[in-house]
Amino acid sequence: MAQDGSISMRRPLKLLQGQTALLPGWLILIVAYIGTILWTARISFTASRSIPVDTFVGFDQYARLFRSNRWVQSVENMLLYGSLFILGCLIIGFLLAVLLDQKVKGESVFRTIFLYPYAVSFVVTGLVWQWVLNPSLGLQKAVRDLGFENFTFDWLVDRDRAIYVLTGAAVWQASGLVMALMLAGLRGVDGDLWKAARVDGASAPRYYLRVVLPLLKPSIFSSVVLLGVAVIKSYDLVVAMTSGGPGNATELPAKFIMDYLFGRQNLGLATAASVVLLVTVIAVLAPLAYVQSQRARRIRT
Amino acid sequence: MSSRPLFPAHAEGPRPARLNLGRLALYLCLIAAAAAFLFPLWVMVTTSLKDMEAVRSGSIFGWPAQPSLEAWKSAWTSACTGLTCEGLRGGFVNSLLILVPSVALPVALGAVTGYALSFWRPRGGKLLFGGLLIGLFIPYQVFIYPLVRILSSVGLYGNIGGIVAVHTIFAMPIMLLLFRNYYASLPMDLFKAARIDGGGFWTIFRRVVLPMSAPIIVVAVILQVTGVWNDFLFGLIFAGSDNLPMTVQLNNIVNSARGAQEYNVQMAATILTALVPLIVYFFSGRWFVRGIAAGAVKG
Amino acid sequence: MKRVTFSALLTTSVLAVATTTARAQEADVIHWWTSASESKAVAALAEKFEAAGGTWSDAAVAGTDAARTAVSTRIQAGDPPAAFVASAVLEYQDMARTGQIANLDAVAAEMDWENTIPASLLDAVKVDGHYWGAPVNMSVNNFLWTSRKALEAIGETEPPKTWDELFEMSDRLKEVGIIPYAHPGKWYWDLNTFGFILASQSPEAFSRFHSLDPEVFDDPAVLQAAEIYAKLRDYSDSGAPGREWNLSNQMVMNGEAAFYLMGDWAKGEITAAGMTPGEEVICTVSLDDAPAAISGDAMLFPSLDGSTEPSPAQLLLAETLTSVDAQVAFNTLKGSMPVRTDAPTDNLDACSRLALEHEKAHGSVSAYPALLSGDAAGSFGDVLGNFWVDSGATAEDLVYELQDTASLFN
Repeated sequence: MAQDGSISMRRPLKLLQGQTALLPGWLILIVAYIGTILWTARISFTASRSIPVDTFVGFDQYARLFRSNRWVQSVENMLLYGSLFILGCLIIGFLLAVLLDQKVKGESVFRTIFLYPYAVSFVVTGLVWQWVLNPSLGLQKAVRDLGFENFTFDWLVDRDRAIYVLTGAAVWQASGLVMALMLAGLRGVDGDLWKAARVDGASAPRYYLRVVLPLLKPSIFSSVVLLGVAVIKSYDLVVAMTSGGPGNATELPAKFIMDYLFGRQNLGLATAASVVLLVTVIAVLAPLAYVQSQRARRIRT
Repeated sequence: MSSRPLFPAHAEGPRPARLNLGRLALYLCLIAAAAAFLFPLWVMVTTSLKDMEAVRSGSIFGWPAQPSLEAWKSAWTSACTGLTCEGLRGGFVNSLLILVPSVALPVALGAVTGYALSFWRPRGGKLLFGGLLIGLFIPYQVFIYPLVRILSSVGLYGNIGGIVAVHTIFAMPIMLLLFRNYYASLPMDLFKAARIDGGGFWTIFRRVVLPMSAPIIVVAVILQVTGVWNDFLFGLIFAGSDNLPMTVQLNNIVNSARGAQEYNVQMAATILTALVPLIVYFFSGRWFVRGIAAGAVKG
Repeated sequence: MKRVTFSALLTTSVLAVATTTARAQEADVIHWWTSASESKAVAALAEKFEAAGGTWSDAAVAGTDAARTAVSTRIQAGDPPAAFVASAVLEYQDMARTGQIANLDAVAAEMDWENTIPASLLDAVKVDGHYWGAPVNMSVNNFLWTSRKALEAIGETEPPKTWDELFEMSDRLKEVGIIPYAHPGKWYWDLNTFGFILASQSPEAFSRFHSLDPEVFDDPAVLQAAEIYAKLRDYSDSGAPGREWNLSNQMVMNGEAAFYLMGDWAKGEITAAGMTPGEEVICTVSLDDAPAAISGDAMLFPSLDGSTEPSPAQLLLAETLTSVDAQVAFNTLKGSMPVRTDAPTDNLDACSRLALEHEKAHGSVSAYPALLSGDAAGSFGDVLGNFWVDSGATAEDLVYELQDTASLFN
């Protein structure tokens, strides 16, 4: 903070104010997050079923977790689904934001259309997707009724492909949000940059890819985190569209946790799964956070 | 309803002057994308306008032979949700009462904390940020039991205060992430200049930072309105039986395992419930203003 | 001014006294009966309760998982509801054993449950030999629903009575382009279907399967059941995985498919479509003269003020609920059957009467979810669901997987 030297006299007071502003954040972190994470970790070593109890069973729940085909496949599914979903949302969200950034007429209408899937409860939109994709009800039937008897579109009930249609529906839901974030970023971009790029003879696509995209890194980072969180917490969509099937083909960890937390009433196993998920996330997130902080430092200095 | 920028567009992004081929292609792309996005909504709307006979027998894509608003009326006023059959309307006011503080508080808290972290960089700030960010990645349902215990021990259970506290707790990391990253993309020079001018913590926030925050506030509000309005589980658990949000009724209409399914009413009820966030999305456009940061630098 | 204040005070205190007495008999009830017919049934039950002097305060939460969450968190927060509905007492056995649920032995004795309610229902509300819940309704889980339209297409008038007949008809249905069997593809329906088959092969093996007896898997009946399950898979359409039962039902109503297996609650959907259960869609209980597999909801009463003795309001509700009067009123509207064997049967529809006759002739067994924990049931359901989409897996593989899963719980 050497650059602040000129006003160093007032620093103690200012810093104090900065610290005071963080108090609510600290309170939430310590009580609501760290406290509950410790509780969760503790329960994962007990034989708790429908209610928390203190019968400790060591790593039994973890042993059962890793013996479970469903859990292992849930984690694998999450990796595939997660990467496709994040990539899909980023690309579509960015493209939509750039299209909307051209001073289009009816921007509010388009923006609302791209965002609306995000507003509507997945309990029902998932049902709609299920209808549309169900071979006996939706697209396949409609096209066959038109006379194309051999048309087949049964990915929803195909063990190897169901995960892709699930991803498609998830991208449909979330890419509008990425668009809004990117748009917020674009609106923060100094308009003079475009003038300068035009003087240099850059085309619009080139301008967006070479000049704007790097400036949107904070928006992209926020998007990736938000989408990552959505991947970890994906539950409603799976329940509404596939119930995790066919077989285990679209099971995801959050659904595993929710099933065992409430429906199957095995608190011990559900908390063990949560702890494993959290450790995995930290392992992935820590390097990312490091990169982010390095990047922030470079920008500031 | 287009959101024309407040400032004249001369110094802003690419903007071909007149309607040419590129412009036409742009609109075609947008319209095609909009059609793709609207497709499931089409199924929902047509289903909600059919009677159940037509839903059972017809194609899911067709426009109803005799469109009727019966299902919409039923969803709002007479669909059964338990002992009573009064539709969704009962919880609407409760949802609003929960919504306003549960959006305002986290957004304000996120903005101030993000501002403090980005510009004042107090000791331990990174730790706080990192910790909250990690907390974000736990399926929050796992938190329910301990939170019930913690909040009921301080009287924040079964009342509006409880539900606002829960929404604030779970929104904090996201809000902080949004604001901190947005502020990180703003020019530090503005802030330095304000400090040299002798601005204090709150003065700089009010005079310099807040006016530049409109686009990110829109995103934060969109996120939070959607999250709070569509929340079912926390409302059910923490709000108390007198303050149950509309989604509890929606769930009771939509989620009946063994009863007969009224898909048309379910679709209507879902669209009705989504109206509030949709209205917020639509009108938030005014605040999606370009070029404020640039303007402030020049001013 | 003073007088006004005084009278206001007086009124308030009188009101307060009145509220306290009313409150003594007030019961807030968490339940998941929210569809149109279920709502009417709840209203009838509430009416009976109020006629007996109680006050029903409704707390409907649809969806078993959501309702269960509401119950558990309210108990955790020290603010339990007076009563709640569960699909089995077994789910709450931890709470029963730790004194968080009121003991209903006294009500059971007073209302003579043991002589008026079928044993297979009572088994489902007992833990360690004590009563922790009051049976609410009775459902038969193993109905075979047959489309009359589809039967006519192959020149038949009567639904199949045995598996052999069913598969023989299925071959002919296939030839005329009708889907023989519309499987509902959620894990709990997979499990219900497998239970249907197993009960038809050996009721004894069915019960041992539900008590997680590891040796039951050596019983040839289990392998036979697995073979039939595998065969059903070949006769179902490809849209089955993940499908809700309502859609299967729709296919059978339309005549697009001929058969599907589901509990008696399917009647509601058939009636809602303007059809008569037993007419356009024919109902028969099980195949091969197997016993009726019965299940039912139960109402449980959390301990209030730290005592496992039910409060006056809870007592009143439990008594009202298991009275003949309320049983008939509630179940007629809901479309299920009264739990009391001494209840008049003239209000019942054709399918329910058929079920009662069937039960008299062939007996009954307790079905999921009464005797299988959610954890075990879900794990079996996962295995059955995976098997359904793994066309390479054989019946032997299925038995092996089921046995392996059962070993987790021993």
